[in-house]
Order: sequence, then C-alpha cells, then structure tokens
Amino acid sequence: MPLQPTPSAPWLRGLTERRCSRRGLLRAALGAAALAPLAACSVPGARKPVPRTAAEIAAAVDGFWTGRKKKGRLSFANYTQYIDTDPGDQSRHPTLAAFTRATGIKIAYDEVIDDSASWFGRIQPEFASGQGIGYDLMVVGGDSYLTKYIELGYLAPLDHSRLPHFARYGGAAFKNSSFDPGNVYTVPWQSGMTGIGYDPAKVGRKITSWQDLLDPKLSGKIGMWNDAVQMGNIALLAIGVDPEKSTHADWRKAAAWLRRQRDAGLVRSYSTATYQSSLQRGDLYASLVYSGDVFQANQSGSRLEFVVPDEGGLLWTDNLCIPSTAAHPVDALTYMDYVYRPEVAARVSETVQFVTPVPDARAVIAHDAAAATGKRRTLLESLSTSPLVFPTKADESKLRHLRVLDEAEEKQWNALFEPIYQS
Amino acid sequence: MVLPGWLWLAAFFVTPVIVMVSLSLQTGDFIDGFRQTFHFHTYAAVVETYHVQLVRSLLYGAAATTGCALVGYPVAYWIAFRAGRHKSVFLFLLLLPFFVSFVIRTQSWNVVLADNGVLLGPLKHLGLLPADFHVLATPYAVIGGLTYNFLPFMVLPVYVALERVDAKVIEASTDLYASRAQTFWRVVLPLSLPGVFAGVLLTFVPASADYVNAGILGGPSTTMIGNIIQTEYFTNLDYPAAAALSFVLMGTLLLAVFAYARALGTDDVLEVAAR
Repeated sequence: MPLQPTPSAPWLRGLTERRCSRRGLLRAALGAAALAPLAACSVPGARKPVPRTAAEIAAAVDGFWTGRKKKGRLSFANYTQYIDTDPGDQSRHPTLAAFTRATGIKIAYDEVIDDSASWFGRIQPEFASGQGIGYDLMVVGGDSYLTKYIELGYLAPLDHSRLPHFARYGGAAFKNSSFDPGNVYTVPWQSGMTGIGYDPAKVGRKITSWQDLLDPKLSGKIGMWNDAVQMGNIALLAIGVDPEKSTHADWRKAAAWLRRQRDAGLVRSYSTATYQSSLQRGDLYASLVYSGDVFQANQSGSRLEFVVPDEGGLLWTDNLCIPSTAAHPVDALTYMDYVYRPEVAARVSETVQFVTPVPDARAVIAHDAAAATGKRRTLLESLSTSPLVFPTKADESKLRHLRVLDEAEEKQWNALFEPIYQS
Repeated sequence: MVLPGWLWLAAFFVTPVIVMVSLSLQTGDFIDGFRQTFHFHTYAAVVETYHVQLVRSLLYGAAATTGCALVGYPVAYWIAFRAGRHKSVFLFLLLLPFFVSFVIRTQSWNVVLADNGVLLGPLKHLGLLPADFHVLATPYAVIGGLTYNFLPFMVLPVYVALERVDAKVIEASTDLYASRAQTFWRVVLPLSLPGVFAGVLLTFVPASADYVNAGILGGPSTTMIGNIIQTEYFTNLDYPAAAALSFVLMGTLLLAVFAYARALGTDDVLEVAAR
C-alpha cells in the first residue's frame, strides 16, 4: 500500500479539503477591514427633548438666561440686502450704528446667508460638535429648517420679560407663527406675502384667482417655483383648503392641480432664481411672486400688479433667533427688542421694502415722507401707502400660514410636490 | 517618491469615496441619525425613480460635448496655426469669461435670449420668426448653456495637441503632393485626436453632472441629475439617496467613457488622456 495518499481528483479535493485556507482567511479579514469603515461611519442623530408645556418652557428659559450678562458685543448673520443702508453708502447701516450709540453694544454684521438649506448645511456640523457658530443672532426662514433647529435644540428659548417692545409693537398677524407658536424661540424679522404677480398689459385682464393660472391664454407664459414648500401650500389654497388644516388626501389633490397645470403646457419654467427678471422682461406674463419683488420691480419702472387671490395667499415670516451656543445672548436679545421700536422698523422697511411686522412703522414712514424731497419723497410716499408693504385689511383676512410638517410628513410632502418641478 | 502621491490620493479621493459609499448604504433620517444597514435597495430605488433625468443628463452632456467639439476644434486650429504671434492673446480671451462667476455668466444668457430681447426681438419684428418663438426654457437653451460654459475645456487640450504637431510632418505631406484637405484629414486630424479625446473627457463628465444651466435656462422638463442630487442632499437631507445617486452617476459616466474609448479603438483610456 502506498503511504502517500493518491492525489485525489480536483473535484474530490474540493469536497474534502478545508474550504478556508489561511490565505483565504487573510483575504476575508482584509475584506472585513475594508468593510469596517463602511459600517463605522454612521451619522449620529441629534434629537433633543423639546420643552412643550408652559412650565417646561419657563424652566428652559430660566435655565438658559440665569447668570447671563451683557458683554457689549454681538455678531449678527443675515441674508443679503435685508437691512437698512445709508442711501449714500451701501455698506453703512444707520440702525446698527444707532443701536451701538444707544446701548454701547458693538455689532459685527455679516450678510452670509444665501438660503435656508445651504446655511443649515454650513452651521449644522458646528452645532453638532457643540462649538459656537460664531454668531449670536441669525435670520431663519419660517420653514421646515426652523422646525429642525428647534427639534435639534439649537435655539435659545427667549426671555420675553426682556422683549417689551416686541410685546407692545409686534403686529398680531405676525406673532404666533405656525412654526413657533408663542414665539418661544423666534421673533419675526421681516414678513412677506406669496401671491400672483402679473403684467396687466400682457395678460389683458384682471387676475383674481389661482384658477387664472390655468387659463390656456397664458400658455407657456406662467412662472412657478422649484420650491416644494411654497408650491405645495399655494396649491392647497388653489383647491380651497387652508394649508394648516390640510390632510394627506388634500396634498394629493393639490399635487394633481399642479400636475394639470404643467401637463397642459401652461408653465414656462419652475425657477425661484429667474422668475422676477423674466416677469420684468415680459418672458413671463404671470408668476408666483413674493410681494416685495413686485414693489421693487415697480420702483425700477415695471408696471406689475400683485394680487392676493380670492382663495387666499400665504403670509410667511423670516425670523430672528439666538443660537443656543451664542457667546453674547443678552446683547442679542437686547437687539431683538430694539428692532421693534417703530422708528427702527421704519428705517429698515424704507430699504428692505418687504412687509414689516411692526404696523406702527407706517406712521413713521409717512412722517419721513413729509420731511423728504424729490425721488426719496415719492419712494417713501408709495411705501407708506403700498398694500404690498402694509397689507390692506381685506388682503390680511385672506392670508394663510404655511403648513408645518414633521419629519415623516415632510418626506411624503416632498415626494408629492418635488416631482412636479423636477420632471 | 511614490508615497506622497498615494497619500494624496488616500486623503482626497479614497477616504471621501469610502465615506460616501458607506453613507449610501445607511438608512434613517436627519433628526434621528443614519445607521449602517447595508441597504442596497436605495440604489434600485433611486434608479427607478430618476432614470429619466439620468438618461437626459447623459444625452445633454453628449450633445454639449459634440457642440463643444464642432465649435472648439476650428477655434483651437485657428489659434494654433493662424493666430501667429497673438496666440497668447487669443488664449487669454478664451479664458477671460472664466473670471466672471459661472452663475452670472449663465444668467446673462437669460437677457441675451429673452423672448423679445436683443437677439430674438429684431428677428420677430422682421417677421423672420413667429411671435411665440422662444429659446429659453427649452432643452436647446440648456444644451447651449452647457456648450458655452464648457467650451474652453475642449479648446485648450485640442490646442495643445495641435500645437505639438510637427511642422515637418505637414511639410512632408505637402511634398508628397497631398492637398490641404488631405493633409488635414490624414495627418493633422489623426495627430490631434488625443487632444480631442482629453477634451471630450473634460467636457462630457462635468457637463453631464451640471445643475446650474438646467436650473437657470431650463423649462418644465429639463431637470438634470445634478439638480436631483442637490435637492436630495440640501432640501430633503436624504444623504443616502444623494450618495447613491452620485455613485450611479459616477458609474454611468465611467461606463460611457470606457465605451467611448473602446469605440475609438484605444485600449488604455488614461494613457491617451494623459498624452
């Protein structure tokens, strides 16, 4: 008998030998090592318990503000061209200088915010790692990002005992936004309306209803937006539903309304970047617009009309808030209250020309107009009488707020409305 | 000596790619965090939802690349052989628009191509075009914008290749009684093809992934895959879907590039591109 085992056939060897050779094991280990980083780098969640009841909120306010002192400086992050400027020098902001004179608090003012999404992307890692973001005050749109900031615990609860001017002069229509009931974290900075802007000379008639945006005569001349929040909310208004009370079934009907409009070839483009200039040039006859756009366009010679449609328009606010990591929160809170003085709100409005959350600013602007001369007088006069800056009672009664969406609802919402403009 | 190169690649390419692959396989949401679950289905889901935009991006990218080659080759040829001592001036002029922001350059076409603007207005007035004719908000505007924005990426490599064509070879060809057309088709063009190849790579890949042109010049159905990735990442904060889409795009582009290399009969893509 040979001592050596006969060399077995390859197929037999495959069945009898250990499958896992050392080299194989090594290879497997290397493979696992390569996969390990895949498994390791998950993105941690950051949900914080949010105070809900009055007692919880009061405790949170106490917890945050106890022992905080005025430090004499403040850094403020804002959108571009969203505060008053000196008519002679665009880089000077008179109300900021006046604030420093009145309170001794120096302000580092930066127009660093382009839009909610990119700003969130920029500061979120700094919040997540517990560092300060370098700003004590920032402007945040009243949209789902504000909800995220609140749920993630990124905002300081406001001490309303130190906001007397907000309590006295803040317009009722602007308080209690749907995103922050009771103004626990935010106060409005500027507001605006979303409605229909159109060129009466091109359209040839009055537009009064969202249904006018289904008029085949305007085929290929209507501008809509690539913005799921605004599009969804106006479509809900168009089908006669108050967005804040809307259900999932309503959203589907609203999306169908928008699809009908698109598939009929009525919409020229979905773009928040270009609608304003297109409307001014006449490439669009009618478009979804912000009230402030129309006022500004008309200042530079256009003759556009803004309408809050019969079914309703949207009133939104951009808000001031204090990051929970702020180094100078007391100074920030002092500024928050300062801007609610009617004379300050009036100065800001004279440049920004959106809807001010301080109705009493109107009288101040009218007073300024009487004192001014020439072009400036015309501007201030049209500002103080413009329904685009100070909405009429009739318009105000037709204004509705954006629907607040939780994380799961936002997913459904986006899945319904994004495909309309991203087709 | 090789080590620093590898380190560079590891830090700026391999690490981000691993992080993105990992992200694309996770599930969860932004507030509660994403956890690794090796959820490969995300890939199938994004392809199923967005294949229209993906294919459209490749078509637009290919159309823009073709446009760049048709416009860019004569420009490069003219600068290389006809511009004489002013070559550097023309090259500078070609690059000059790059000193203006990409978005502003694109936006300016909205003014030029306006329905009743400087270009179309007079033509309509003369009755050469119907009154409702428009270029903006059509696929042609998007492809045109892409062609305009990526043109220098085609011209420069073609110019470099043409510049390197040895004058003696051209001389030899004319000595052998080749006509000017024959010299071009059989000598100059083949010698400049590596430059064209590099130009196609440099144009096709970024043009297909672009999202600015579709956003600014596009109409109701000109959305490109770059717009979708941007929305998924910034608006929806759906990082896994955005990452998965990015890899699908990357894979598709690589496939397209290798298929193109095959069709051209070159075996080693990178070698040709680097030449």
